[in-house]
Amino acid sequence: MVDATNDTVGNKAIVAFLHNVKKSFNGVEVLKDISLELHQSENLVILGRSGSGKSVLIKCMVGLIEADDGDINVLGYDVRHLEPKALNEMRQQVGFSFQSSALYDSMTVQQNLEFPLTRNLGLTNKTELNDKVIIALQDVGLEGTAQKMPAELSGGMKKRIGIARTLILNPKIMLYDEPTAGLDPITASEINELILSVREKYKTSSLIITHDISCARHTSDRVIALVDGKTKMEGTFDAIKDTSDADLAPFFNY
Amino acid sequence: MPDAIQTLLLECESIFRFVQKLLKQAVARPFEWRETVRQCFEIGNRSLFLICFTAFLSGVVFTRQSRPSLSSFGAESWLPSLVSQAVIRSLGPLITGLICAGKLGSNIAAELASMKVTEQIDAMEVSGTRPFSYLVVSRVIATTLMMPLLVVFADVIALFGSYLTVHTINNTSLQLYLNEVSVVITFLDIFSSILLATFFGFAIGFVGSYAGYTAANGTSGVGKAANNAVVISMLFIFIIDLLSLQIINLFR
Amino acid sequence: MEKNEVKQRVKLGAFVITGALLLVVSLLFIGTASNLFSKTFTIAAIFKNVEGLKEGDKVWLSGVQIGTVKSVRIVKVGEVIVSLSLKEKQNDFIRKNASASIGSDGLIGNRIVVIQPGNSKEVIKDADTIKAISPADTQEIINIAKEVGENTRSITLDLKAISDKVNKGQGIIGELLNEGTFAKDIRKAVSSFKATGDQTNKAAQSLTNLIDEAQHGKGILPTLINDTSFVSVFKQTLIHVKKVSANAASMSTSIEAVTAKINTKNNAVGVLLSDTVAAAELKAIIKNTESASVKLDENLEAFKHNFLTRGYFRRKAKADKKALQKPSESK
Repeated sequence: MVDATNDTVGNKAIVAFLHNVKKSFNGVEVLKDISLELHQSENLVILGRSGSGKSVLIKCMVGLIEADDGDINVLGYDVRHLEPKALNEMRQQVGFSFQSSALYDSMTVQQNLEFPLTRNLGLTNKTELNDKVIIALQDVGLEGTAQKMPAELSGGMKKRIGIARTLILNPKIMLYDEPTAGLDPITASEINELILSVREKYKTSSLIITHDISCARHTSDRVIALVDGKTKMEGTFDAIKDTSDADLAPFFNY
Repeated sequence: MPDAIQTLLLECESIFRFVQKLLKQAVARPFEWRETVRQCFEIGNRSLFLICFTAFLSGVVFTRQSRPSLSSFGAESWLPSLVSQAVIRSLGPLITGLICAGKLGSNIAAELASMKVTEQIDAMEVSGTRPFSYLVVSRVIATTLMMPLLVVFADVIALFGSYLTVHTINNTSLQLYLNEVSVVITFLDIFSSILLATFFGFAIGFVGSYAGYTAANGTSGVGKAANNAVVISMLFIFIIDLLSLQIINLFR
Repeated sequence: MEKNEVKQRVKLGAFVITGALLLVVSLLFIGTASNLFSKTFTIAAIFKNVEGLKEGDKVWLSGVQIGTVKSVRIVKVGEVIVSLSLKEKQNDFIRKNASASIGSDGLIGNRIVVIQPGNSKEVIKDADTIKAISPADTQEIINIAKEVGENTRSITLDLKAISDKVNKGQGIIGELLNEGTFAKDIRKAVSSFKATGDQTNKAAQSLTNLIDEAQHGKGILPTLINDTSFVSVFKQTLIHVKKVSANAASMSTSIEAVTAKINTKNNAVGVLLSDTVAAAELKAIIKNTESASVKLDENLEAFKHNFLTRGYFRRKAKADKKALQKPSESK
């Protein structure tokens, strides 16, 4: 398995890795000894069924959930043992696109986008904030929505705004949690395009968590399959799509 | 049974941790001034009309209801003093507390629960914000500060409603009414009423935040959190009312 | 966004300031009612019995609230120190010899302290102690007045009985009495009795009125102090009573003279008189009138010692002295 990776990706620098990470909730093991590496400028898709611990995995990577055991290293930060200040520094460089887009209901789109700028970077200059918001909105193709409330937006638009909110900090790593979940196929493919264009523009390394095969096919450079809290298979999409593994085959053949 | 006891103990532990976190975050820098002020507006100004309306009505109703029993032994002139004592010592804080428990408790719990369910709290955290201090501390402080103010309004409006009633029935002048009120009401009454409201405010903010912040995932978690918040904070209000009565009577 | 937020903050500010203002105004209002903010001075009075007076009760001067009761402490049995906190502005009206008593401001209302301002030239100062009239004193006055009334009434009845008999000329005594110097003397006595009867009736009436008023009013002391018309009624009553006692005294001397004559001459009339029921009756009358006059004198003495009337009697005594001195000078 490890050999296959080396063949396709080559010897690019590793920007983040997980080593033997374990996590359990109320005695139920969700992550059982997970190890993986994210390379510079690659789109790594983690494929798995709902409840296989994918979201927990990336939340562990930004310190939203504390792992029970193992090493998590993101951009050189030892995530599990960080002071609040260093944690904040690390988070500024890691964009997190939430499954439910997580736009703040009580704020306009503009305020939503300004939130990480004022909070993470401490920016207060009005014009600077405005400029950054406009650029971020242009990048996701939603220039006219700055004064709208999240409730007025469609699911796809919310996703885009959510992505724009993370892009506004110029992240080095993007973590996408189910970017296409709950969207119609056309909107989903638009999001897929967006993920690719974001990589083009921002030169990010991305970790995409999904159970959507078409998303995986479109966006992935490399795929890791997660089954029952363990990494089961790793390789390019084409390399693993014809697997005969009993747990994974249904994914590609449904 | 041991399961139920375990659940109860775990809940207690989680409440204790929540209190601990609340106290810790309340003094942590930076303090979320802007959000606290915004919450004060949401909680104070947005509840003012409802509180005033209810207080006015209860002032009128209470006066009209107590009149017959007083006039039956010819003590109708005691109406202002009776009503004012009832309003300031108990009715004002209680009405404000119950209405705020319903309005603010459910509001806070539902808002926080839905923020949790839709990962907004996580999003805040990765945006370099301590969500606990941004969401919970600001709300608890806002309810704790705004409740006494709302009670002042409620007391004044309820007494005004009562005055209008007394005036229409007995043609009592405002001067006389105020005189009778100010003779029976003491500083202790007012301060205890305000202190009581402060506790009510804290209870409402705390219970609402706790229910919302620890809500189970999923939409049903939101509803349950809102429901729990209302029921428990109303219960708390009555308990606090009773306890404070005992304590205040020591000074009276 | 900024604009909106500024708007919100302005509204919040308005809300908070209004609330705070309402609170402060109501606190001030209550403060003034219990005179917490005006400058005060404290005086004390020692009562025997305060009849449930408690901290915070009102203090009245001429029916106006001028302060509150600061504390009520028992120092020993039958001695309760009541300190009164009075408004500074009012101290000009209260003199050194002022006195305090306990009243009530309604049928079931609170106890109040009523201050009688006094008439000395010195104005009261902070920490002074003024005289206290305990509620028991009020009761005493009423009792005295009642006694006077009863006594005078009994005298009147006796006098009526004898004068009736005498007028009808009942029996031998009647015949005897209708002629001669003897008869003249007796007649004089009777007419004097009659006069006394009228006087005493009047006095009794006045006193009864006064008692009625005292019982149905708001306690005798506050009314007496607060209403000048009552003072004059009371004074008049006292004058009447005084007259009664004077008349009774002269009466008794004239009757004594009569009996002395009867007894010493030892004639038929004397025998008849001393043996008949009539003689006994006459003796009883004399005794009654004597005792009545003594009682009245006692009552007057009590009145003299009472604070209300002390001034009156002092003036009276002065006037009498002057009247005595004038004739002696003219001699």
